[in-house]
Amino acid sequence: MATREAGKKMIMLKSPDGMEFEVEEAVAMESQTIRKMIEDDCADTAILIPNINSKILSRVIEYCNKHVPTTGATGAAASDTVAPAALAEDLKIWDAEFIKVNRATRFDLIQAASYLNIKGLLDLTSQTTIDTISDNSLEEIRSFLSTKNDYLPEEEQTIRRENQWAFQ
Amino acid sequence: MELEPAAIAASLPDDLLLEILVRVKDEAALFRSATVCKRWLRLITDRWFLRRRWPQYSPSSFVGFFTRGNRHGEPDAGSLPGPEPCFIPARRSALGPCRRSLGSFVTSAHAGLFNGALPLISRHGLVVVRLEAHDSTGYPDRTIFQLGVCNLHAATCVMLPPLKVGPNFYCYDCNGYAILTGVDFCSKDALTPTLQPSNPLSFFKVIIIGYTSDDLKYNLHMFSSDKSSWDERTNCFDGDAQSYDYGSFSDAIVHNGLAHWIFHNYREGCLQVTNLNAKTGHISLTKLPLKLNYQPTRPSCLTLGINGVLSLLWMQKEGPQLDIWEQREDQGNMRGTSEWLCTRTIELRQPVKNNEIRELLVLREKCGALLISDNYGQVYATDLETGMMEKIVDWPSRRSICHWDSMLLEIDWPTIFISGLTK
Repeated sequence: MATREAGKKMIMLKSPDGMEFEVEEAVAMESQTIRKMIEDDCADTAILIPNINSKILSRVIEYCNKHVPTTGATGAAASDTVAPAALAEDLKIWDAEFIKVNRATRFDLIQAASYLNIKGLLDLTSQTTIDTISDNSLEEIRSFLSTKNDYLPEEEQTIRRENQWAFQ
Repeated sequence: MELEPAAIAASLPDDLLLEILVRVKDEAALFRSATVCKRWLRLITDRWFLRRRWPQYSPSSFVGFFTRGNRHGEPDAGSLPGPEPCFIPARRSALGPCRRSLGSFVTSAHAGLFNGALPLISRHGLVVVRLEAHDSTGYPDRTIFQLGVCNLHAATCVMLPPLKVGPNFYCYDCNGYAILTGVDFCSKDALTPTLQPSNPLSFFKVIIIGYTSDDLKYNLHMFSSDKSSWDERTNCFDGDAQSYDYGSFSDAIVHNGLAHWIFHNYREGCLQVTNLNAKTGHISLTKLPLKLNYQPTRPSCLTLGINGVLSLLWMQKEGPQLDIWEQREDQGNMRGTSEWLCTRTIELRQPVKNNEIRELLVLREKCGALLISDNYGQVYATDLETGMMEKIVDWPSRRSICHWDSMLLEIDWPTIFISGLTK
């Protein structure tokens, strides 16, 4: 264990507002975007993450810390003590707590998850929006996403009239 | 520092919104959300998006079936609501969980239009129904064969020119019916989406092979939506076969601009496939060399396997097993025979084991869903991959059902999205 601690490679992530975050390479590589940079040797000192402020970046790192696989070539110890099912259940509860954020933060997280290409985080953060689209009226979807309806009333009427199956 | 709400929505870029939209499972909800704003419309009707949303070999799915309504107050019609054809949804149908009359889809039609109507065939959400025709005194006129083509998504019904038929004309299973749409006439290029830019459902072709006149010969009738009358060719089988020689036509299988039916040749005691080129009207017949213990009362069912192989579904007599026979050659020779091989046998599995069920009868198939009835008049939708039978609970069990009285409905989602949302 001690050699692992000592052998851990650290990476520096920088947000555009000047904050620096030192994270384990394995955690940073939860992001496919960063993984590619590291693999392409573009990451010797610090990686600047554009468009993601420090508040959001710290939350993304928090997510990756929790979700980084605890098993691996050298790290079998963690999975020996905790059953995989219990671990998955624990993660689910943790995720549910993690996503209890306001709407603006959620959209920022969606954007960050997309840019950094973290599939689990993208699934988690977009689920509420998917549910909103699936279960709510058009007005509710528009207000949830702050989207302005730019259809003329006649155009909207025509689509409704000609596609009644979807609007019943 | 919180952003203004409007800025948030604007900041969700297209690729991100697409990631979210492609995860919306409910088809009607996805369709409706195209009317949130024009940006969403553009994203949802993008062909690559539709390809990604429905990546399967066949983008169509089975949603339920139509059957005749309760004609003239039949006392044994059970829970069918009225004289119009009735739609019975499959489980998890995108067209709602309840039985509905045909008129509830076609709101533009006048009341009573579909009374006593018989749904014959459907494709891409277009349904061909035979409508009751009346003479000048208001009595039913059996010498007029009046068809209507209903577009269930657009809620319209187009009346075709009436066909004059003999008084003994019987429209059920002695004839082969088919409808093809603009989608079927698109060029087939595997690399590019085949959807036409304009509405592909505004063009259709209705085909009838049957003995419509009194000389008992088979005639071919084709109606194209860009023409105003039927094209007719008499004695289309070029032989001396007469109406009582052939029967029990299957549902049409349409593929690559061809329509195929299977039917019984009573005179020679065999099964035969008719192949019709919908563009040219050319017909070829293929005999099946199968030594099947066939009974005229048991209809056969054609289907299209993966890679477009024409396949025959055949219920074994002894047990709940279904044989799938595949045609080996691409096309049968004119008047020739083709090679058919039994490539799979499926064990049909009932939801609840019922030892009283003695016989299962194949009705019709669409998009991998096979409709089967048992000797209690119950109807099941069977998954052809797994063999799992799922009872369609809403069926009025006191009425028997036969294959011409159960018209399956499929939905081709990309086509519905393109034709319903783009002009």
